[in-house]
Amino acid sequence: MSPVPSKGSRDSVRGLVASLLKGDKRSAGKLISLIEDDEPEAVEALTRIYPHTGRAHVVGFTGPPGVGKSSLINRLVRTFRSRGKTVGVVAVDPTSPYTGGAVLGDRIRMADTGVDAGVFIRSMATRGHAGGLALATFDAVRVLDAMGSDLVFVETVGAGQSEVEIASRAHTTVVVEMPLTGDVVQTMKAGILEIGDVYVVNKVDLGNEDVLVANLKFQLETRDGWTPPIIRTAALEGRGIDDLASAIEKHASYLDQSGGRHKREVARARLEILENVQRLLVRRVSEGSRSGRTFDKLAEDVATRRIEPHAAARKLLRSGPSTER
Amino acid sequence: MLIAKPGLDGHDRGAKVVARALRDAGMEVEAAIQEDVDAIGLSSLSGAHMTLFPEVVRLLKKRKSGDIVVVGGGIIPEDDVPKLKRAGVKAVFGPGTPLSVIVSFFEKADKGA
Repeated sequence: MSPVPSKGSRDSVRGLVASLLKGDKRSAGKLISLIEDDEPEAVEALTRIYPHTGRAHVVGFTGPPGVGKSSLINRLVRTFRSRGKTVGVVAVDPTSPYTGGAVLGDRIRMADTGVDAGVFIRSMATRGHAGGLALATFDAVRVLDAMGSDLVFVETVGAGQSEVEIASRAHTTVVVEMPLTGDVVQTMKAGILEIGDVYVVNKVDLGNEDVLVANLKFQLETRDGWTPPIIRTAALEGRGIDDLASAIEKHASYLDQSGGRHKREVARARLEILENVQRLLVRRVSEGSRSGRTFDKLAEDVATRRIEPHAAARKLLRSGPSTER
Repeated sequence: MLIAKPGLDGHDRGAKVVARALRDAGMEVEAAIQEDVDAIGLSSLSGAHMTLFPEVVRLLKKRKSGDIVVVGGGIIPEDDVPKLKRAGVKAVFGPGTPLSVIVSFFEKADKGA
C-alpha cells in the first residue's frame, strides 16, 4: 500500500543513496523497503551502496524463542552507545501465515532505545522474500553499514537453518541460551556448539545456570586460536551486559589481529554469490521466458520418467542464453 | 502501517499524560521512519490527543516525512475532529467505526497517491 510516493519507485535511487551516506534515516528506511520488497531498483541501490560498506562490525544473535535476545540487544545497544558507538539493529520477526502481517514485537521490546539519534532499528518480516530471508536481511545490514553504523546487530529467530546462516555472515556470532530449558541434550543441538564466537547464558536470575555453563565449557573448543567465552547475564536487570559488550569487542580485535575478518568476508562472499546465482536461476525459469518453457518441459519429462532430475538440472543449466537483464 | 497507542492511559495527572505523550510522539515518528511505513494510526484514550496527534504530524514534517499519513482513533470528542483535521490528521475513526470504512479510506488513499 502506498498512498503517497513513499516507496522508492518515485525517488531516485541515486538520491536516496546520497542521503543515506550522509546518515539520513528516512533514506535508510526506504532503501531497506526496496530491498525487502525485491523491487527492480534494489540491485541498483545495492550496487551503489556496496563500495561504502565493510566498516561496520556485524554481530549476529541467535537462540531459542523467549531466551531474551531482544532484551539483551536493548541493553547492549545502550552500553555501546555509552561507549560512543552508533548501532543499527535488524530484527527478524515471525509472520503469521494467515494474515501475512508481522507483529513487530521486537520493536515493542526495544522501545527504550527507539529515540536515540545513534540507533536505527528495523524489523524484517519473514514474508515471501524472493531471494530468501537471509539475503534481504544482510542487504539491510549493508544499508545500515553504509549509513555509518559502527555496529550492526542482527537478531534471528533461533530455529533450524537460520542459526547456521547467521554464523556464516556475521563477524561475531552470539549464541544465547538460558538455564532450565529442558534437558542437556537440547544444548548440544547439532551445530550450535560450532557456530558461536561468544556464548551467553541469560536469565541467570532464575538460578540453576551452573549446569549449563559447565556443560558449555566442557564442550566448547578453541578454534583458530579463539576460545568462545561464556558470559552470564540477566538482561532485564542489566547484569553482565558490560562483560558481553567487552567480549564482543575482544572478538572484533581478535578477528583484526588474526586475519580472521578477511577470511570471514571471503567465505561470506562465496556464499552470497552462490545464493544470487540460485536466485537468478529461479527467477529465470519462472518468468515464462524461453528457459521457463524449457523448465516446464523438463519437469514434464521428469514426472513421466523420460529423464531423471540430475540430468534435467544439467540440461537446464546448458539451456542457452537467458533473457536475464 | 504503524499502529501506536502512545501516552499514558488511565488515572494520571494531566501534565504527566501530556509530557509522556510528547516523548512518545518522538518515538512513534522514529519508528515510522525506520520501518518506512505509509501510515501511522494513533489511538488515544487519555485525552492527550489534541497535543499528541498534531505533535506527531509536526515532527514528521520536521523530518521531511510529511507524506506519511496520520490517522487517529480512540475516545475523541466530535468537536475535536475538525481541529485535528486542520492540524493534518487525515481521518479520525471513533469507536464503532465499521472496518470497511477504515479499509476503504486506505484504499482511496492508496489510489489517490
